[in-house]
Amino acid sequence: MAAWAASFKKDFRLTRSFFFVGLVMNLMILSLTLFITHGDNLYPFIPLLAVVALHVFYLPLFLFTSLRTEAGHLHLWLHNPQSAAALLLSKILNGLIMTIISLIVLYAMAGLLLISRFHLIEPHWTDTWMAGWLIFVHVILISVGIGVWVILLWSLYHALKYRIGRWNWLVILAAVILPSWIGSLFDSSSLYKMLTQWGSLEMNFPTFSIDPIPAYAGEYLYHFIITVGLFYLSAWIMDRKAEV
Amino acid sequence: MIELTNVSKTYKKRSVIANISFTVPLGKIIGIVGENGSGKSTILKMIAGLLQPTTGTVTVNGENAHRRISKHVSYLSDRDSFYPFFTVREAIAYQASQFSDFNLAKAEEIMAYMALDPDKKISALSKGNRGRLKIVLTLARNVPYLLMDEPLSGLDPMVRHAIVKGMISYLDLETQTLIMTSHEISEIEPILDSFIAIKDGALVRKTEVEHLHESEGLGITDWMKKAYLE
Repeated sequence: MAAWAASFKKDFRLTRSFFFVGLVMNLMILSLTLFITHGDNLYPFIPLLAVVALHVFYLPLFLFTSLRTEAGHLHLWLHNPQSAAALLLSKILNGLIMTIISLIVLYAMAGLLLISRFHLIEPHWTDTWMAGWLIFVHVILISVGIGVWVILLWSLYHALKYRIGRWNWLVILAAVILPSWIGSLFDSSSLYKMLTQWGSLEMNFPTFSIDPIPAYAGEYLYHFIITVGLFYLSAWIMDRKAEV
Repeated sequence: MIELTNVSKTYKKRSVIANISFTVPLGKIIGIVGENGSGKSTILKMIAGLLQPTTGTVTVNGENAHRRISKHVSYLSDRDSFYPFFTVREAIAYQASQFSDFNLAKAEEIMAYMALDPDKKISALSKGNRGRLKIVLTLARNVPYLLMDEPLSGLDPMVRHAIVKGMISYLDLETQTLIMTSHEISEIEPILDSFIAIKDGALVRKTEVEHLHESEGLGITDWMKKAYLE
């Protein structure tokens, strides 16, 4: 555990500028929003909401940055008795904490903007609160899903770079396109529906004029299993096949 | 024991190591010599599990060498790379946290011998001092196998001899083997038990240094001039 904790601290120092730049960008977006929007309306929330949605790419970008830095001195990172899963989890947890802090900062900014405009959303407050939480959780879930793909492609690249040469990127591209295509075919099959459409978690927002959003516990479990599977595949590639 | 059996390594389509086999027992200091690009670093990286052979097998204590073989192997890279935000002391503490066999007291001793300032940031160290730090980090581990790729690179010629001497004194030759590559062959030759000569990825010779001296009356450099150039 001490070894992992030291890796975790090292990973934070390796990528802390990414985190602080992100926070400064949040503040800049808030300042810009306040500068260009005037009046008693909800327009200032549009850029904030867009930035919250863009946080699905926060963890993937964080992981890409961290892994790219390690790639500059790969032996330093990989010559280590810890499992690749442990080394990667240190990065993922760093990125997750940074994602959550960045989102909290954005939500706090939104809260500050809301104080004087609360009367505008008061009739929708319960649904807004719920939607805010659901967006928060789903941004993180999607972010982890994409982040694991970044790790998989990175480890594939480092396993193949001396084997395939200039066709390496083609293989990486195929590793993205083929599973996505097969995945989308499977997602539209009746087998997928049978496997995943259980445990309804339908999301209702009665005060927003929108239809209920269907969701199933089975779908969340399915994506969780896929994400964990891809993570362990990446870790196996890093442990056994990645080259320095 | 380290064992390479029929090992070949190809980078893309370029053959770097061609069907090499040899074993390395415990308690020896072995030099791998050869021209630039002959495959010396590749061999060390394969033993450290940081490269995989294209064909053949590399085992350390009977275990296939993959990156987690680092529990038995301490590896010093020829590349001048560190986490630059660490001070010397932090780099040593980080190494100690990662390797349970890391001997902190020994590291402090070697650090003092190498005249390194523990509070200095790595990014502010000279190339020579970064080289010394790499030696501290590698040598302070109590592992059976130490692999050093060009450990003397970047060091002043005046201090190389003292550092080589120091390296020997911090090795436990009953339980440890040191395999090193170096272009400063004359500096390391006095401490080598045997050497492995590589040319164009093929094993040219593996023999005891003493045997070379006795049988041919030559040092390694002179023998190489003869064997590689003629």
